[in-house]
Amino acid sequence: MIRSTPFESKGFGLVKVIGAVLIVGLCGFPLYWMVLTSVKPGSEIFSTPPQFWTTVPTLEAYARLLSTTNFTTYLRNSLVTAGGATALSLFVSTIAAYGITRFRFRGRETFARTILYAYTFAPIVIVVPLYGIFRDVGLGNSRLGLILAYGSFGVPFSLWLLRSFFASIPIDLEEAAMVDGANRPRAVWHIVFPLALPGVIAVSVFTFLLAWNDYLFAKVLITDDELKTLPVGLHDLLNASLLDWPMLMAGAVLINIPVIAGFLLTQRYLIAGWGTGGVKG
Amino acid sequence: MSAPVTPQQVDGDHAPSSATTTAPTALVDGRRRVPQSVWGLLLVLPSAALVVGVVMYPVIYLVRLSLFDAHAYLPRQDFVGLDNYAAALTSTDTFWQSTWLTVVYAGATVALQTALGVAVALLLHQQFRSRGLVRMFAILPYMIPTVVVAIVWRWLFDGRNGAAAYLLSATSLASAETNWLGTGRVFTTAILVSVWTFFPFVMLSVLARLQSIDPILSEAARVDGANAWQRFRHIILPELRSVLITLVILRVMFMFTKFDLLYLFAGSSQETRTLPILTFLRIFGESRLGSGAALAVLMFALLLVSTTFYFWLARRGEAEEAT
Repeated sequence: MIRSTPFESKGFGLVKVIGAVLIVGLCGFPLYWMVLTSVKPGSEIFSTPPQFWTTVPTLEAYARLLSTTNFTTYLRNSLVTAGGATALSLFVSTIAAYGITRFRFRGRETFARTILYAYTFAPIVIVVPLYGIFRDVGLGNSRLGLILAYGSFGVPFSLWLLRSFFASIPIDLEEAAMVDGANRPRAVWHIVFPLALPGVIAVSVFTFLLAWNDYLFAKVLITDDELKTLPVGLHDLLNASLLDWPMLMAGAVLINIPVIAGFLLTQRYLIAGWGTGGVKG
Repeated sequence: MSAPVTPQQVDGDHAPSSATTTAPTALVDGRRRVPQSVWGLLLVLPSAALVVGVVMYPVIYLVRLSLFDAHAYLPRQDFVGLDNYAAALTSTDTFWQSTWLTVVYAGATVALQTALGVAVALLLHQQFRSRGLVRMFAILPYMIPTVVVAIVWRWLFDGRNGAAAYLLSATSLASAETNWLGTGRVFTTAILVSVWTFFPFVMLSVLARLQSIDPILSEAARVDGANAWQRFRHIILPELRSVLITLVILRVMFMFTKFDLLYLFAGSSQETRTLPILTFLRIFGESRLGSGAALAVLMFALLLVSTTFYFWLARRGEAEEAT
């Protein structure tokens, strides 16, 4: 029997409310619990049943994290590698995307498509030989090696997104600037780059987070504790003999800060520009 | 001087408008002009070098490594031909057991994350208040670093004080005695955590596709008396077909080779030792670089064969539907 049940009916309204509450609860609660645990006083951590709020928040766990572990070293390493990878990836992708959209040469389409295939190679398949190669050429256990690795992983997505941005910027604008006496680099810097800024921000956030979030490559390519990045450093704390959950959660909260910031900065493009690539596998 | 400006030109001035791929080098303002094809190649060279050097060349290097008995830390390697492959394929337990675990892990997580992703996308495609906020929440699990996902869920499922373990038993969804991280259960828990963190990928992709479906179609069906299920089954689902085929293959490729979440959440015990973890342990635990490389190549080959088979099935399905 065919009944007319529009989505706007009462029954479906209830489904929507329940669904929305479930989504917010299931996706949000683990993060709420992470933040809550990081500020709970020690006496409340191991209460049974667990306590779902706290009246006496404290930052002791953060103080412990910063004073008794190498967290600040890991943080600096993460900032350097992720920042370096972002700069590298952004620079080479920008000039390549510009080259593809502004100059005509043989094989540019093939080049763009081939570079996208890089995504079909799984990290675990790449990291094994990369470990051997980097060891042979003296890039093992170095920040530069990590920067090169992350920078390269950022290139395919960055190139494709920037390419579509550059293609949509009318060439007449640069030509006009150049007729007025600007050379090409100046025209690109003052005309093209500002117009492509949303794309530039999106690919920068993408590469930064890719490097910031990665565990596998940092784990394999870096052995020196002084060079470890945050994900590896934090996981080492999980494996420590004494599990300090508030301190671990404090570390988790701090790692998330740039992630949430980047997310808020780019979420406008996330749904609209989805399909060109993901943040991680 | 006033030659028409075309995109093919190196510079906006002076260059002949007939400039093409093989633009001749011309002397302008006393300087030698570089042809645009050279400029283009120069500009793409750095990215090409990076991607080839760090992504593509390693894959060739990997195949070479797999033919050697190479040590992971010492500079010692002996050519052994296909011995590493033979050893893996004839091993009675490790390789095939890991292959089976990988198939289960990839199959279960992809099926569940696809179902959940489509369901959530359909819901978030509807109009309701604070939809933008709910959408943001739905993307969060995918955004946060894997190491955080692993650590936070370990804490949530912690035996005595885990909030999730408590809530599940308090609502009678699971027994209070359930040891979520214990032997015999941790693999299942890891699958659930994987679904939690990866479903937003499917959700976002499906949502993007839903937004490009003409609402007139669904509306017309509604006027004709089709109910919500019928509209989904006969209007929406056919439209989603091609994106779902692509999504499933993408997700299988990602999940089949997923290392970090499983390793970080469940460790490297026998029951969660999928092929990526086996490869990792073989190299960095047993220091057998060559043997591990062979495992990685086999994993890659298995993936290639199954994705090819999948595409063949999908195409045959489409052909049958067309007749």
